[in-house]
Amino acid sequence: MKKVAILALLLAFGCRKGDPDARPVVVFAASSLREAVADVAAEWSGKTGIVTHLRYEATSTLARQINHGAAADLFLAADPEWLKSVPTLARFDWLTNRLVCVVPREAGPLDLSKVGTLALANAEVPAGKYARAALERLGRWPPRRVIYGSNVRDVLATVSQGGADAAVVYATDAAVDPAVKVAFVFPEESHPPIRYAVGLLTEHGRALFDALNEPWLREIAARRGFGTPP
Amino acid sequence: MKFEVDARVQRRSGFSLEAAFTCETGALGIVGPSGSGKSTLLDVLAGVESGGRVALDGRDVSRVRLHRRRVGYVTQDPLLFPHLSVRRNLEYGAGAEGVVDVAGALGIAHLLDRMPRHLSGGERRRAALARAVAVKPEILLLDEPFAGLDERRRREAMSLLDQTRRRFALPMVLVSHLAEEVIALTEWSVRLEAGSVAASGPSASVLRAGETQIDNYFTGCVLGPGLVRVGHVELHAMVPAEASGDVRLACYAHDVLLATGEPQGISARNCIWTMASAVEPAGEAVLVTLATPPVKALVTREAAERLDLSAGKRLVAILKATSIAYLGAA
Amino acid sequence: MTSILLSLSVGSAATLLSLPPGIAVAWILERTRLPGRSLLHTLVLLPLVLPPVVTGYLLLKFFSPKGAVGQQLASLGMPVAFHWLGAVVAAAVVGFPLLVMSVTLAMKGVDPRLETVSKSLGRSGWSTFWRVTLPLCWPGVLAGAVLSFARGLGEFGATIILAHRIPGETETIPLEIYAALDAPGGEEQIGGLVGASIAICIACVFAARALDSWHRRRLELTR
Repeated sequence: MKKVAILALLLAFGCRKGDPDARPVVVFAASSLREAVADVAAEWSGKTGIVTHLRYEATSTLARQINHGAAADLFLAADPEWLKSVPTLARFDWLTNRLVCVVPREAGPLDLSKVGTLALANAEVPAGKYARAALERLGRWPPRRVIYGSNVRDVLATVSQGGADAAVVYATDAAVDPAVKVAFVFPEESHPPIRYAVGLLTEHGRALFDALNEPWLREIAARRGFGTPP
Repeated sequence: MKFEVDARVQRRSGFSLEAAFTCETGALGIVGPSGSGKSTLLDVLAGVESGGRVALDGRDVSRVRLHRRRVGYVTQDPLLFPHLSVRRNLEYGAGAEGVVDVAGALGIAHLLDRMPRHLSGGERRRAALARAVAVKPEILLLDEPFAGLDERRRREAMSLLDQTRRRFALPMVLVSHLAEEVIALTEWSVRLEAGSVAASGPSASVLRAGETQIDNYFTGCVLGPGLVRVGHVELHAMVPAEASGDVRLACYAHDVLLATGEPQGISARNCIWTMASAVEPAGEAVLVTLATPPVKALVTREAAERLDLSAGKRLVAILKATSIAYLGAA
Repeated sequence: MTSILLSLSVGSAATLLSLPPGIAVAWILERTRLPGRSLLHTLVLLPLVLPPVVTGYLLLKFFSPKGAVGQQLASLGMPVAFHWLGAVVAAAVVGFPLLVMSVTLAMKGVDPRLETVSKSLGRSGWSTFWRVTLPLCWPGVLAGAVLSFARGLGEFGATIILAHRIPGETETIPLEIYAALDAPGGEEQIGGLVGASIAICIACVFAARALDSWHRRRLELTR
C-alpha cells in the first residue's frame, strides 16, 4: 500500500515536471501597475490557458530580489534605470504615467507650501525619486515633515488612513482609492519622464513579453489611466 | 477583653473551620493538635483571614480590614523587615515615639541600629515582639512563639512574654500545641479539633481534659465558693466564684489516693469514707471503682496488695481540691 | 547618528511608559486572587508570540487617526499613529511581556508574609508596596525594565506599521538599517548602526543579568 502511495506521488510530481510549458509565468511588477497587470494577465491567461503568478512591490525592491536570485520571467519596472540594473534578454517601453499630489477626499484646497505632513515613497523607489525631483523643481524641498513608505501604495494608504495631509503618487493610484482625491498634477517637465519598461528575464516569459507589446493588451492596461509612450 | 467569635473559613483543600465561642479574659489560649485550625482561627481574629463574625469588647470588627485593626501579630517566624534596621522595624508601625522604651523593656535597646540578619534567633524574636508592641495594639496575637526553642530559652521567652503583656497591659491570644505554656500564660483556653471547638474553659481544665489518663467525669451542685456537693458528700474543688447550680467536674484517676483509715495532718482538703465497689486490673496497675464520689482510683499493683483491696472494702478516698477540675455548667 | 539617539529616546520613553502598568499587572497576577487573572496573563503574553506586524496592525486599528481614540489623542496633542509616540507605543507593547514576567519573578522572591506583617502594623496595601515589596525587589524590576528596553529598541514590524518611517521622529536603528538595505549602495553605510545595535543589546543583557544576580543575593541575605 505504501509503495502505491509513493508511486502515485512520484507520478504526480513527475507529470508536473514533465511539461515545461505548463509552468506558470512569474511576473514581477511595480506596485502602481497592480490593477493594470491583473487585468492584462487575466485577459492573456484566458486566451492562452497559461497561468501567471503576479508579485507587486516597489521597483527597487523587486530589482534587488531579482539580483539576489528570485525566480521571475518578466520584470515590469516603473523606472527604466532600475530595469537596467538587472540582466534582461530583451526590453521595451510600455506605459507612461503622471505624477500627482493627493489629499484626503474631505480636505479643502491644497497649498503645497503649507502642508504639515507629506507622505512620499522611499528615495530609491521610482515614485520617490520622481516626487523629490518634482518637489525640488517647485522649490518645495525639503518638506516640513515626511512619512516614508516602502512603495507607492503604502504611501497612498498613509493618506487614506489619516497619517498625512498629502502624498505624492501616480495619477493611476489616485483612481484606485476612493478615500483620496487629486489636489493637483505635477507639470511633466518638473520630473524625469515616467516610463514603465518591460524586461524579459527568461525565455519562458517570451510569449507574454511579446503579447504585452501588442496593442490589444496595452489598451487594456491604458484603461486604468496610463498613457502610452510616443 | 471580651471575645465573641463565630469564625467560619472554607478552604479549597477541604478543610473547614467552624469555631464559635464567647469568653472574657485578658489572656486567651488556642490549643489543639496540628491541623485543627489554630492558626486559621488566629488569622480570623487578626483580620488576616475573613470569615464569620468577630467582636472584641462588643465591637464588631468582622469587616474591618487588617491594616485598620490595631493588632500586634507575631508569627512563628519573626519576619523582621530585612532591609530595615531594628530601629526602623520598630518605628515602622507607629513612628519613632516610644520605640526606645519598648526596646528597653524587651532588652534589645543595644541592638537598635543593627540589621536583622546580624541578630541571633532569640534577638529576632524579641525584636518582632517589640515591633508588635510598639504600635500600641489593642490586642497581641501570637502564633506558636516558642516553637523550636530549647527548654531554657523557652522559659526565658515565656517569662518575657508574660512580663511584657502585663507591663503594657495588652490582652493576648496565644496559639500553641504545648500544654504547659498555655496553662502558664493564659487564663482561658479554647481547644480545637478538626476545625471546631471541642472545649472552652479555664486553661487548666481544658488542657487536662484532653489527655489520655483515665478521666473521671461527674456532676455536682455548687454550694458556695470552691465547694460542691457530689451525691451526698461535699467536696472542695476548683470551681470559679461566679459558677452556680449544676456543674461538670473531672479528675484523673491517678489523682485519687486511697487509705485504709483517715490520715492525720494531711494537706488534701477532701478525705471521704467510701467503699470500693469493684477492683480490676488495668495494665500494670489496678483500677478501683468507688461508690462516692463516683470516681475510679488508679493505684499500683503493689499498693493494692499492701492495702488488701477488694470489692466491698471500706476505704478513705483522698483528693486535693486542685485535682478536681471545673468543666463548665452542666 | 540620529537614529541611535532616537532609538535610545524611544526605548527609554517606552520603558518609562510601561513600568507603572507592568508593575501593576505583575502585582495583580502575583499577589491577588482576582477572577480573570489567567485571561489577563494570556493577553499580556500575546505580544511575545504574535507576529510583530499583527501587533502593529492591531495597534494601528486601535489608534487610527480616523477613529475615536486617535482623534481624542490628537486633540490632546498626543497623536500616536504616524508619530513618535507610535514608535514608543509599539516598543512598549512588544516589550511588555518581558517586563511583566521579570517583575512577577522578582515579586515571587519577596515573602508575602512580610506584607501581611506590614499590614498588621497599620500600613495599607499601597504603603506596603512602596515600603516593603518594592524595596526588596527593585533590582529585579530594573532587570525587567532593561530587558523590555532592549526588546523595544529592536522592534521593526510593529513600529513600521503603527508609526511608519519618519526620519528624526520614528526612524529607529532597525528602520534605518532596513531602509538602507533597500537603497542602492546603502549596505556599506550600515556597519556603524549594526555595531551600535549589537553593542547596546549586549550591554542590556549584561546589565539585566547583573541586576538579577544582585537581586538574588539581596534576597539571600534576608534568610
